[in-house]
Amino acid sequence: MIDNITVTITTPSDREAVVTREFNAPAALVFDAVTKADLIKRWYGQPGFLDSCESDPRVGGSWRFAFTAGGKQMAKYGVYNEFDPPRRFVRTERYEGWDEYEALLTVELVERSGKTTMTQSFLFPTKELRDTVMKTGLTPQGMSAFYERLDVLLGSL
Amino acid sequence: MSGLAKRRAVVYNHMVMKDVELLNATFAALADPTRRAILARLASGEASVTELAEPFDMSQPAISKHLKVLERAGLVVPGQDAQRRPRKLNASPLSEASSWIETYRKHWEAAFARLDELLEELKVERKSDRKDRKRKKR
Repeated sequence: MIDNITVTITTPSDREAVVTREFNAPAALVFDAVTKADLIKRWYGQPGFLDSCESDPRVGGSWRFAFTAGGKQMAKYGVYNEFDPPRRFVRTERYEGWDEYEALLTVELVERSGKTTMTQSFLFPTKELRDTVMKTGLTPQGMSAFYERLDVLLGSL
Repeated sequence: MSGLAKRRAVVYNHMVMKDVELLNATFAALADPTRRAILARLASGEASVTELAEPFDMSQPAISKHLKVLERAGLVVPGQDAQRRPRKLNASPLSEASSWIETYRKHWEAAFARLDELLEELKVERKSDRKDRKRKKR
């Protein structure tokens, strides 16, 4: 149990969502955990959530997380535009199966006495999309949780 | 796709779009100071269009226009008296609008809790990797 660890969400502009959190680990470890495919698989979504996970962490390298949500195969994918371990990376994000989604994600890590603050800044093309993402938690994990709730609901009808 | 999966996908899209449209309507409704003042007035009890128009120095049609926007957002609903046709406040879309960041926060809290566990495992794994390497060197 780790105390005093809170997620901070800010919206510095109409098209941005910024998620900040401190981790009790050095920056190099956090950086690996969020960019290396074999490690991403171990925390991204509930165990077994990802059908496949590919990540080629370098400038111009692509990444792709595939999953099944509501019987529908979907994937989140993009390209690393900047890659500067263990401090910063920038990547594009799109969805197969949700054409309207588009984001530029900038991740910055700052290590202080063995702890690392990670800041994820999502920049969306429109305010509407930003609001949609934040409102519905429309992310692979959010969707799968949504479907679980919906299964319970449909089962009870 | 199975029948249930199809049904789920349809219900999902419908619910999400309804949510998003309603939320956008809520924010649009709240963006205008006159509409916020109307809501503040209705918070102290239902009122007819005439009563609502009084403090604003605005025509009744102008107030009706604002009321339409508020009704579309579900923030204003018809009151009891069919003769006087009062309007009353419905605050539930407001609480939904204020909880939107909370939804996003919960999503990340769950993901980061799993990341915490992984980082603890990695610390142990990498420590034993280093020990292995030292042993091999000897």
